[in-house]
Order: sequence, then structure tokens, then C-alpha cells
Amino acid sequence: MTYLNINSVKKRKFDAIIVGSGMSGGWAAKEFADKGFKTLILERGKKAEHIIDYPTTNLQPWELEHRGRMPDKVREENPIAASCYNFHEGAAHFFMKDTEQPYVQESPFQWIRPNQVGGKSLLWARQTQRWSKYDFEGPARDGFAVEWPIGYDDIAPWYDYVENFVGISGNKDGLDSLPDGDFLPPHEQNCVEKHFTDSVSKNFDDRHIIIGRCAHITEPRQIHYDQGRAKCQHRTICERGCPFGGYFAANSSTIPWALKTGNATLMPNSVVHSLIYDDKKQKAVGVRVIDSESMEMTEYFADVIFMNASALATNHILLNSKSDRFPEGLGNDNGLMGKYVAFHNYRAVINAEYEGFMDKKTAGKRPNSSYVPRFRNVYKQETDFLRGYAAGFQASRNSQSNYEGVGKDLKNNLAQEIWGPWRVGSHMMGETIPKEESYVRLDQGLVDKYGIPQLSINVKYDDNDEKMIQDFKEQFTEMYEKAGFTNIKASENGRVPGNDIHEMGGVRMGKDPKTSLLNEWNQLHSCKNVFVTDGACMTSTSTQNPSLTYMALTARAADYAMKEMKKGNL
Amino acid sequence: MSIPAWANAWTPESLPEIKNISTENAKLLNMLVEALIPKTDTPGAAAPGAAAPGAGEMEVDKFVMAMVNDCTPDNQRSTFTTQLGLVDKFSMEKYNESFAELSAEKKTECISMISMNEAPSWRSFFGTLKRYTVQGYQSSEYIMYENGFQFAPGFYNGCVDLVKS
Repeated sequence: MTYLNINSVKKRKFDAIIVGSGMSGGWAAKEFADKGFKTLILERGKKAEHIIDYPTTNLQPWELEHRGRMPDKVREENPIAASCYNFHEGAAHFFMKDTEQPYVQESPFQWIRPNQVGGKSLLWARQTQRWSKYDFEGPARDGFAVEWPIGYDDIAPWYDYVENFVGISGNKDGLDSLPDGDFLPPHEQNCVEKHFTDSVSKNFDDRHIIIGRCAHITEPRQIHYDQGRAKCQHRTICERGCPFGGYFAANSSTIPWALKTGNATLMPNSVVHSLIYDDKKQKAVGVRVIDSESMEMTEYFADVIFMNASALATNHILLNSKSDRFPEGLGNDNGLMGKYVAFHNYRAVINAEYEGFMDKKTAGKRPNSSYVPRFRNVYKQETDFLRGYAAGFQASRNSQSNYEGVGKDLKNNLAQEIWGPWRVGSHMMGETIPKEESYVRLDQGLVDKYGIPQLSINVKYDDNDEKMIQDFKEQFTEMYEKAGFTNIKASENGRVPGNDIHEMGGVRMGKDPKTSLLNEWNQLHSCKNVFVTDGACMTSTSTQNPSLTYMALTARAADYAMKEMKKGNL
Repeated sequence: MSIPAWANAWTPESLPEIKNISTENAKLLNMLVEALIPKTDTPGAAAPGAAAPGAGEMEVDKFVMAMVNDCTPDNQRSTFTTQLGLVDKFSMEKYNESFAELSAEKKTECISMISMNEAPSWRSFFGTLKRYTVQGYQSSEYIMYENGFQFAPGFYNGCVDLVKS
């Protein structure tokens, strides 16, 4: 890894600067470096080299001092980070502390941030479902936000492209609402999940349950060996970092690939303050970077800049990139930057029991679950709310213990395996509607320790979300009842926006510069050498876990950028 | 090259691993967890797994104290340490012997009496002790492997026969 400490401008000049080294930044870096472009990757967090910087990856459960639970003191000092399910002894070191870059919550919002190379690609849930044409057509059909400037056909070849490299396992399910790819072998549904799949398809024409498509190598291809990755070992402790590279993380895949070319330079501890706009050249010429250890600011220069800092961080940096030409943030001529932020609604769950297959159980572990593709309003509007929801679904069976007694009685009780019914559970993943009043902006007074104005966030649930929650509960209760599940309990988990970690928008794509910030190639309409290809670019959210789409959009935009550079247009 | 004197005697065991507790109480806690889940060495006893080391031998007390120190509300923690200091008094009143002096059977009997004591302070103490002892014991290397734990199974089968033990 190369660390730069050279003052000459020439040494600080690159073909491309990538802001962020996570899910999408890693792809930008790989694409540019692979094609021979001199690339600088800036990461605000610490170094995290594959395997070497996974300190907990091989710890056994009993080797974790509190068996996974983070001490109360740490949780109390970091209520935002601690709200994430992955903030435990195995992975807490991959989260940003709450005090590092505080933000203002105009309404409750849990901004879950990583703090190392690879970003959240180390921590993600690894579900990788494609968007379909119905997802891209949503805003235009239903009259919200603005029309997407691209459709499924534009992105399909790029889904193919990134899926091949990443390694996606799944079935060819033949659903037009969830297009297939060239998948690695699928994980297995267990008997109760298969039963539910059969029951639902028998009782509902429009509904399908499938095994999730996920970024796990179930059968390596040469392209995965070329990355130094191997078959997933089903440890299901992915968030600690995987020494096999069994699931996709930038750290095991795109970042080392980019560095191996010799064309890329990776700089951790590099907090991007803002982009530099040159009025004469009428383009962005570089970035201002604060070294988080020395607190010194240095400028770096490039012909093109890719923004992959994560959805809200990209908004933050662009809003803070003020110049005479762009007093309200780089590319923000229409004042819409930071607005129309949306997320995924994970607020409802439904659990139950099943007393079939009582002579069966599962064996081994599975880093995946079943998946219920969206079935509401897919082809036409049919409910009193807009859009719909996908859902995770899984069944499991574990033996219980009897904790009665003391002494030998207790010990004997603990040793008894008690096999109760199967337990099933589902959680909704609802599309939320981007609205002008859902925004992020720079706070007028508060700054962080880098002197950067704090981001102020105002994103809320709305009536459409409440109706969708009700519908999820009702529909799944009916589906559960038809499958013979018992003791059905639908409930709400109180998760606030942001806790889904699928925040999107603020620098949306669109056809018209008056109503959007980015064009169909993810270029800022008014500053063509700046590309935004992380979650900030999203015009709408649909229901699918978004990482795969960010990766495909990034590879597509990088390809376009390089072609334009070769033509001398950038 | 010289190394500090303390380093000569350094072993993992010699390091103070249990915080916020006196040496005497640390020893007592070890005996309490052992009494709660004792060593049994009769193979083929009531249940598989019965012939296994006790929670004291497994040093589950260290886990109990880590949880009490770091993952337990202040009032519950202070009740725990206060009542821990009163276990010997409890034992003296019932048996005229300190807890350490009791036979293994009497230790378990004494624990059982504490578990049935209705005083809120003893209920809180016993609840904390049992919860963390059971958690630490069940997630110990020995018991997890007894129960078929596989760190990296490399597979998933969604439907296998349940063979009841």
C-alpha cells in the first residue's frame, strides 16, 4: 500500500479520483485501474487489509469476552452505531464512533457508518436481487419523484458484468419482477420454507417465494480464484471479514484487484472536505482532503472524480463544495441537492410456529434466507398505497433447553434436547417514496472536528408507509394461515429511518437538469466530470437490497467516463 | 537484554483477569458456579453430557464477572457484589461453616436455599448468577462441541432426520 506525502502538484495529479472505497468505490477503482488509468482511492476510515485486519475472524464463540455483547459503556457512548444488529464484539471495530462526525437529527435518523477501507461491504447482508423494468418504471407510472433516465435494458448487461466477478448464488426463477442472472449454485430452502413456497404458489397466483440471491461463492469460477477468493465455508460470521473471501467485500475483491494493477493508490485516513471547482476550466479539478491523523489539508487533482462516499456522505461533501459558480453546492443549480432522500421500510415483522415436519431438522449453516419478491402493485396500481414491499422469510428449528433447578439437576436439565415446533419469521422491506420534505442539508452553525459543517437530516415515515405496514401484516397473516402456521404474531420493531442502512437519493438521476442533479450516465448535469454512483444517485428506492444496483451503475458509468476521456470530452 | 522483573513471572494465569472483586470473593464465585453446575464423572448418567467438568473448573466465573462488570445495570451489579460478600454469613447461619468449608453436596444445598430466599436482594443476586453461569457454561468450548458445534461446516442441509437422543 502506498502512502503519499509528497508536495509537488504533479505527484498529486491523477486520471481519476474515487471518493470512497466501499461497495461502489471499489468498483470504480477496479474499472479505472484495470484499463490503465492512474487512480487515487480516498477512504476516510482506517486501513483494512484483507485477512490481516480482520482481528476477530477466527475467534470461537467462547473467545469473545462477553459472548458477543458490547459492554454497556460502549453502547451508551455510541447509541447510533449500537442500534445496528452487527454492532457486537465480532464486528464493532468496523463501525464509526458516534462522536467522530456527529450530525443533526431534525427527526430521528440512525446513520450507520463504517470507518475503514471497504466501508459497509464488510458488514452488509449480502442479498443481491436485480431490479426489474417495473422498478425503474415506478416513478413515471405512479407519478412521484421524477422519471428514471434509464431502464432495465440499460443496466442488464452491467448486472451480468458485476455478478460474474462478485459471484452471486441463486436459482433461475423465471420471474419478470426479479430478473435472473448467470448464477452460481443456489442455497437450499429447508423443508418448511419449501412447504411455504408450495402453499403460497397454490393459493396466490401472483406470489412466489424463492431462495435469496446472495453474494456468496457456492462454487468458485476461475474469475474468483483470480481474485484469491475461495468457496464459502458457511461460517455465517461474515461481518467479521471472511478469510476465504467467501462473500463479496471490496477488501477481498475490487480493492486488491485495483492495487494489483499498479495503477491505483489507496489512501486511508483521508477525509474529503470538498471538491475544487475551477471557474475558468468550468469543471471540478480536484478534492480537498484532511488527513484524520495529522489534521492537515492537502489538495489532490484529477480529470474525473467519482463520488462513492455512501449516499449521505456524498450529499454532505457535494453540499460543502461551494464556489462562486456553485454557492449552494457543486452541481446544485436547481436547489434540489439533498432533497428527495428515501430509504427502505423494515418496520414490521411476523413470526409464527409450524408443527409439521416434526421428525426433521436442518444441519450445517446457511448465510442466506428465503426471499419474497414484491407482489403488490407490480403490473398495475391495485391497493390504497403506492408501490410495495419485498420480504425476507426463513424457517429454523433448534433444540431448546430446560433451565430449571440447581446442581446436578440443572446440569442434567441443560443436557436434555427439547425439540419444539419449527419457528418461522419474515421481515418487510418496503419501498418509500422520495419527497422534497425528506432532505439532508448543511447545518448553519455546528461543525465537526474537521471544521466541516454538520449534516442535518430530516427523513420520516409517511402515511403510505403506515398503510404498507398494515398490508404486510394482513397479507402475511393470510399466507401464514393458509400454510398452517400457528401462534402468528405480527409486530412492529420501532426501527427508525436510517437503521435499514438503505438510505438513498439526494443527488438523483433524471432526464431534466431542472428537476434532477445527474444525467443517465450519473454525471452532474452542470459539472460533467463529476460522477455520483453510490446510493445518492437513486431516483427511487424500489424494494431490493441496493448494493448490486450501485455496483452495476458504477461499472456502467466508469465505462462511459473512460470512453469520454479517450475521446477528449472530459 | 534485560526484561522487567514482573515479566519473568508472567503467565496468562497470573494476570488479574477478574476486575472489581476481591481475591476472596473471586474464589467464592468460582465455588458458587461450580456448585450451581457441578462436575459429574459418571458416564451414562441421567443424560449425555452429564459426565462433564463443572462450571467452576471451566472458569465460567470469569465470564460471570465480565458480564457483571460490563453488561449489567449499576444497581444490579452493586447488589450482586454486596450479596456475594454475604454468602459466607448465609452459610455460617445455616451450617455454622463458611461456604468453602461445605461439602460439595452442602454447597449445592446452600445454593438451593439462596435460590428460594424471597428477599429481593437475594433474588436479584441469584438471578444474575444463574443467568450468566448458564450462558457461560452453555457457550463454553466443551459444551458447544458436545452439542455438535461446527465453526465452519461448509454446508447446509435443509431437511435431515431428527434423531432424538
